[in-house]
This record gives sequence, structure tokens and C-alpha cells, in this order.
Amino acid sequence: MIELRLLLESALITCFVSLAGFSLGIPLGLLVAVTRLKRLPVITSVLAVYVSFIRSLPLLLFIMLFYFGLPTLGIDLNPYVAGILALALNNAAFASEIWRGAIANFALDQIEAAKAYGMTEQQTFWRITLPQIWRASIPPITSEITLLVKASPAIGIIGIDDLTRRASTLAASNYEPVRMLTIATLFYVIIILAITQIGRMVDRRSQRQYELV
Amino acid sequence: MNLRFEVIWNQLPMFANGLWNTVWICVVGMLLSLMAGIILVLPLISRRRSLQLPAELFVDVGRAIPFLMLVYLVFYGLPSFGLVLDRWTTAIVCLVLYNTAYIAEILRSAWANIPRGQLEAGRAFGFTGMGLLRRITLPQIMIAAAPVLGNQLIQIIKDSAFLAIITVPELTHAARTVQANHFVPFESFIFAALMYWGLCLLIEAGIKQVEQVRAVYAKY
Repeated sequence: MIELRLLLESALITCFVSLAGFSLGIPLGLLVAVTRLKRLPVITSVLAVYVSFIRSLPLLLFIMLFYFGLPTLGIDLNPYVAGILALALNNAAFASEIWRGAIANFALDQIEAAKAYGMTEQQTFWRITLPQIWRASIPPITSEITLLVKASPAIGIIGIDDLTRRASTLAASNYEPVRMLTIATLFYVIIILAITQIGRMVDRRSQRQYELV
Repeated sequence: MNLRFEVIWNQLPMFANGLWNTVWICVVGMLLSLMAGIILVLPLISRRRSLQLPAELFVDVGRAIPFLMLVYLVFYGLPSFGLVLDRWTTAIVCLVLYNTAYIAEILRSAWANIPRGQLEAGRAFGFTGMGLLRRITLPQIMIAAAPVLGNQLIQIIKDSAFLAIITVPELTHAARTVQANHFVPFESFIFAALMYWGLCLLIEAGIKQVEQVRAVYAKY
């Protein structure tokens, strides 16, 4: 059945765009969180405004601002680049809050111990802090990724044929809205369940590694 | 590059109307889904597995469907079953269907964190069933969950932007209309974005207030 193949293809587009979005967004969020904690004069407040602004901005509006608005300022982006960048910047704002919370809750005596062992600040971050805050952040990061996938239909507005847009165009052309939309919904449920399962697996594995130490 | 913010100034009534529609749709949606969430949380916290399972299934599946997909299902799918809803009804129905699952889950986790002693003391004083729920359990769940429910309201406001696609004249739709009529994409989208920001900052301030009141209340 041709429709099923088309839907499957667009499901892959949804997966690809989401994957690219969070692969960029999560490290970017870490960078934002760490920079904000450094208390640099101007940069810290700029980042605080960025996080607050993005967190209250509907993704649909953000993507339109990126794709239709930026050309006014002389920046022209291809729809995929605009879509992925918008998803990544959106995801980074939320991820940065997760990272910030994890860093704030991190035991200070471990950092002091590392300093006592003669580790530099860099070494302490990469070897002591990051592995542990990463472990603590797996569950909230996983749920952030599922939110990203569920917000991704917003990229349909700039003409990317993601799962939702493809389902709605197919529904309009073959007059079988219920079947098309239900299949697409099932695909979403499968994608989201797969992400939560992978998240749980990674979480359990990292916990197990931790027990061994 | 020349920005024409005077167009935005002239179209202010349009934006104000959009903002108003966003606010009332979201507040009505929030209140209705809060009621539905309270009803849905009862089977979730019930000890009977046969009641718990279907409620859990609804919550898990409900939280795996994108909001826009749900809007399409209701707006384009339901007419096949002879049920035609106009865009306003679709908007409210979708917001409620979508958020009930989230709110039920928020209330369930608030319930899981109430000190058990409270419920036992309530039982010892002779409260049972509905009385216990109405007088002891529910007020405490609501107070504990208030900040998270505030965050959910912000989430609802952000999701409601998708309703622009089925031409509900809310804030994002207003911005799109102004940009289409006057070709001011950057100006109109950034202005709508600032309005959303203001709205959410207001709600965040409200959440802080509630937290402060709660801290005072917790002392007694």
C-alpha cells in the first residue's frame, strides 16, 4: 500500500529531524547551563533572557519567526536547517534548566575532594561532575526528548513533510482521514514508547555501572 | 533591512483580540481539564487493578500523541463518524482531551507524596470514601500540585498556538494574518512572541505567589 510507505517515509523524517534537534540541543543546553553558572557579567543575563523567552514561546511561532522572519534581517535558511535549528534552540533552553538543576544539586564535597587531589577545574568537570549529573539527568532528558518529538509537527508549517503534515495531506487527497490519521498516531505512539524504553534501558545500565564502582 | 513596526501599532486591536482568545481558550481548557483530571485520578489511585489499568492506558497513550495530531483527528477525523465540531469546540475539546492525561498524572504524583499519616488520621476521625477525598485528600493534592499545574497552564498556552492551523483566531493566527496582509513577518512574529512571553511571566509570578502563600501555610 502506497500510503503506508509514504507515512513510514515521513515518520523517518520526523525521527531524523527530532534526532538532529536533540543531538544539538542537549549539549548546547549543557553549555548554556555551565556558562550561566560562571557568572560572567553580560553573557549570564543574556542567557537567562534567552532561556526565559524560549521557554514561553510556542514552537510553531518560533519556527515561523526563524523561517519567515529572519530573511527580513538578511538571514535566509533552508527549511530543514531552520526547522532543526529552531528545535535545537528550543530543546537547549529546556535542557539547560535540567542540567542547571543537576549541577546545583551536585555534592560540593566531591568537588572539594577533587581539588584536594590536585585536579584542575576542567578535569573535575569532565571526570567527576559530568558523569554523575549525566546519570541523574537521564530520566528528565528522556521526557524532554519525547516532548521534542511531540512538538516536532510544528515544522510542517514551513513545508517539511513530517508525519503529521503527510498524514493530513494524504487524508485530504484520499478522503480517508480516519485511517491515515490513526496510522500516523500509532507511529507516534510507537516512536514515543521506543524513546521511553531506550531511556529506561540507558538509565538502568548506567545505574548498574555505578553500583560496580 | 527596514523594519516597519508602525504596521504592528496599527494592527494592535487584531493582536489584542488574538491574545484575549488565547487567554480565554486556555483558561477554560485548563479548568475543564482540571475537573476531568480529578475524575480520572480516582481510578488511577484506586486499589482495584481493573479500574487502574484502563486509566493508566489512557494516560500513557494520551501522553504519546502530539497535540496537532489530536487536533487533526478531532477536526478531520470525527466528521467521518457524523460528528462535526466547529473550530471553537474543536479547540476546547482538544485542549481538554490532551491535558486531562497530564493533569491526572500530576495529581497522581502529588497524591503519592501526601504523608500517609494525614489519610490515616482522617480515617481515624471517621472520614470515609467521598468525605475523605473531599475534605482531606483533594485539598492537599491541589495545594501540593499548584506550582506544577501552573507550569501545565504555560504548556497549554504554548500548545494552543497549533490551533492557528485550523484557523482559530488566537494570537499566533493573528500574527500570521497580519504578516500575510502587510508582509511584516519578523515584526509580527516577534511581537506575538513578546506577548506570549509577557503572559507566561505573569503566570510564573502567580506561581511564585502561590508558593509563598503555601510556605506561610506550611508553618502552621
